[in-house]
Amino acid sequence: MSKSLIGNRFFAQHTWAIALGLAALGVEIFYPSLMTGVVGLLVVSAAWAFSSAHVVRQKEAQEAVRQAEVSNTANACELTLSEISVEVDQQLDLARNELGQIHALLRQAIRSLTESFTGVESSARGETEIVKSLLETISETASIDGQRTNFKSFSDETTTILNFMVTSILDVSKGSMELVHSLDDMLTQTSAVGAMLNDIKEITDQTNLLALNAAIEAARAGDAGRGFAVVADEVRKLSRKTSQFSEQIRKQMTDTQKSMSEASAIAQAMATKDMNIALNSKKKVDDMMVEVAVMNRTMSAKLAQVEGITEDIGVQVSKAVTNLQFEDMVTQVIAHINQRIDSLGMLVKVLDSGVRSKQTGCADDIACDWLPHLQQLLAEARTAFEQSEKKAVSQKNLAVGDVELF
Amino acid sequence: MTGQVVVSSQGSMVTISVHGRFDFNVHKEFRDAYETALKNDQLENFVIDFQPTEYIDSSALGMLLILRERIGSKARIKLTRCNKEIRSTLDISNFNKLFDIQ
Repeated sequence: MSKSLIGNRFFAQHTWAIALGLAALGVEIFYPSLMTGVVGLLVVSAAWAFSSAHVVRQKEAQEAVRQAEVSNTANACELTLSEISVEVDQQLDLARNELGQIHALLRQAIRSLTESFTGVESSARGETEIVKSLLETISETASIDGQRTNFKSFSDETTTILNFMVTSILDVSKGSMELVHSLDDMLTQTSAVGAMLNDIKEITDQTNLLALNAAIEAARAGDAGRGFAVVADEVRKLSRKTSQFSEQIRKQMTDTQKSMSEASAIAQAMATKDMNIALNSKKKVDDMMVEVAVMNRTMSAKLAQVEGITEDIGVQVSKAVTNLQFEDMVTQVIAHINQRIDSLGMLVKVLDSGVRSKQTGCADDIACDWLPHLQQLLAEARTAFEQSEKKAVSQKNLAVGDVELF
Repeated sequence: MTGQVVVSSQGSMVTISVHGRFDFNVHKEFRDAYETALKNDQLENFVIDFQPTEYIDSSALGMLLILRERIGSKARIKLTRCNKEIRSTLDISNFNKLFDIQ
């Protein structure tokens, strides 16, 4: 209250006393005597006491009214606070439940996703293995003599067979040509025999002629030449025989030469082989090896691509799984929220217990003085809130995967 | 003319060539040609010129092998100016190991 206001109220409350006091003073001035003074003083004091008492009674009355008002308001407040406390508790419980639900949903979802991603990666690896074994299978041919071979050894086999075949052809050709040369030589020799047979024919012809001449001379000699004529006759017979044998030899030679011709024809057939078949076979094998080499290179490249993609999938899955590891952070944030909820709950309970203790009547002065008590609790709660606020702020700055240590 | 065997000699070198098809039909002329050439004591180089030759078969290869045996160490044999097919045939027969192919 301002000083002037206090001054005003003072004068208002003690009006009568002041008035009487002034009157007594006036009387005293004008009619100074002890008796008057004393009486005046007494009257003034009485008046003063009366007005003071009046003032006090007024104040008490006002106080009582105010206290009644306060009490009513306090009761109303207490009731409302209780109701608020109950409501807040309910809401906080619901909030706790909902936090629990969030946590459970997140945990389930994270687990599910992690499983899915890991499944994808192992599927990708499985596919790569299948592709690998498929390519290996393609590189091999079917069994040959019960042994699995690949294109290279198959081509080597073929080349070996081809070489063997060529060598065989050359051996047969060379041998056949040697045979032909021998037959040619024999032909030359038999031709020489033919020439000799011609000489023999000349001789036999001559001999025949001579025998004829001898016969003629013998006939001219008459009887003396009869013996000579017989001899000449025999010589002619021998000469004819020789001719016959000569012809037979010639015939044999001709037959022999015919046989040699046949042999030569056979040798020609054996010696003459077209080399193109062998050439074509070799070319085909060479071409096939080139194609196989190209195919192997292509398959290796494709396999490398597939493996590369699988690696990529692995990396991406790793990233995803790592990114899913926020469950720990979520758990901590939810824990903080739960703490706040608990703090709020605690505050409300303090309020409520304070109200209740006032209602039941308190033996303890301190407990009854629940406003300072409440203020102290509020201060403590504020400190606790600030502590957890610092922790929550630092939580936001942690990188994914970091976990604060308790 | 196909089947013609042509021989030319220059000092220590003799060149034989077969025109057209070098096959069984020329065997007599071919043999006569080299037998004549071998009579030359100064012979050191034997050349078969394939330029006029269009085709060879296995009998020709046989004849060349016989020639190689016949000459022995007396002279070296060169096979020259082969076309692509003849060269392939000589290669597949491993003649590069037995003759000097140019």
